[in-house]
Amino acid sequence: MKPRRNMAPFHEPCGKSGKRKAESGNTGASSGTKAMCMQKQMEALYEPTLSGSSRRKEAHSILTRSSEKRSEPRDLGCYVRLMGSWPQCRLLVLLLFLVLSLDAWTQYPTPPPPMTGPTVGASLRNAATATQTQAALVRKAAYDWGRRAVWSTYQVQQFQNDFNNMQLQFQSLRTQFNWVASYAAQTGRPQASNAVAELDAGLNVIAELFTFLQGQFNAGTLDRNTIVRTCRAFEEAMRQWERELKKNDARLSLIW
Amino acid sequence: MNHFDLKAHGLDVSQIHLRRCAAAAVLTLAGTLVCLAVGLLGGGCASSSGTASAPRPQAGRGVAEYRQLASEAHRAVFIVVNSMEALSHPAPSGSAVHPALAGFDRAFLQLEVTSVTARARAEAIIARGQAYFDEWKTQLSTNQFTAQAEQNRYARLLDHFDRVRQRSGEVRAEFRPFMTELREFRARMDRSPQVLDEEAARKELDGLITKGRQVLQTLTSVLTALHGAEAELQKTEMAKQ
Repeated sequence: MKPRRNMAPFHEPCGKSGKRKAESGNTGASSGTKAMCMQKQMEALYEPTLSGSSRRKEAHSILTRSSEKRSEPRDLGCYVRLMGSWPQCRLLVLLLFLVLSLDAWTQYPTPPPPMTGPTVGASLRNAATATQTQAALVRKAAYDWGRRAVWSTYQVQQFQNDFNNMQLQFQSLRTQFNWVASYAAQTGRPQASNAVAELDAGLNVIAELFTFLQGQFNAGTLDRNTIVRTCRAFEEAMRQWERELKKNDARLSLIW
Repeated sequence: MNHFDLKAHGLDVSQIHLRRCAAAAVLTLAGTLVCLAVGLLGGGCASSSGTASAPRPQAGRGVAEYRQLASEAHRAVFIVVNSMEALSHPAPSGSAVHPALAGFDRAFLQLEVTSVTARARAEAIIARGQAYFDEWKTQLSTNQFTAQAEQNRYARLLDHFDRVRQRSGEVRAEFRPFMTELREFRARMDRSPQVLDEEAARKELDGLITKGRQVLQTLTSVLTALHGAEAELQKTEMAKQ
């Protein structure tokens, strides 16, 4: 599959895809039976597993329940059957993937503080190294995002994921840089504080790109080409910022 | 006879081989020793720098750097304004995309990158205020002058700094909305490439060109102020010598 340069607008009306799905779903009576089977399997899948105490409770209440409700072994059998047949197994894997991936999305570790050295200078060096690493990660994230956004299959959901990811990476960079700023302030040198102010302002200028993309998205006017171009700007601006950080070694009192 | 000759010949070869091996071993040993010596010396240099104080920034470097950044930003804005003027000319009939669009895109990306450092420097000078000046005034500290001369130089440099700061504020005020509008305008062209044929878009483009020229003016004024400050610092350096 090759990326198409002349792409459709990024915002496609949601109704269209829904309609298509509805049309494709209506294929006959056999599909209805299949859907019922699937629903049963889904119910079986989502039935909560019973803990030991629940089982005991059920054993106590077993006389009061009707024979239809006493179906635990049958349900277990359903699990076994589900695992035994390949298409149903695939369904299970797909469901697990969807459920787990949704949970996995928000699990971003907050950046750990840089290692504290024996002196302020050593701590500053560690913080600067961590900042440089994180800046490279942000640049890489922008590059990857730009490459994904070129594809004609790039959707709104993917944009939101990429946008959130980029924001989190950028936030981590800020956190790391704040450590540099705090250690630089401890050195008490005006050069270091000026360098920190410049680098901090640089991050603020780069962050304007987030505001721009957010504004375009909220207005419903975001185009894929705009995303690609903005990602490129992000990447290049980050490269420039990294260069500035390295150039300011002396002013930040970094001794390597 | 042949066998005997061959044996004798084989003996010679082995002797030569032994000598070569010995020479190679000596060379390897010497190379290793040289490498070790270089490594130790290099390591010594690195460790000695660890105990030394941070290198002092070159005199007037901050002013010269800011001047360079401002002139780069000036050039980038100038190219963008030129490319916008090219965009404002009607496209030849039948072309789906304006021929000047590619040039505009290149110039715009360059401006996005260049403006980061120039704007950041302006922001830092405004945010830090008088504290920023401390870095500049360190170049005045010398014992060779009388207190009066030192005070005069300080006052003059502070005057230059105030001018730079005030004009940096103007750059900040002009630059940010210009960049925002430029991004929005380019995004509109993404949605409909024929937008330049519309009257409203043409007016918007004209407005952007005007704003670009205003940014150029403010950058020129900063450059002038920085030239003044740099000249003052050079005078100080010459007086020191």
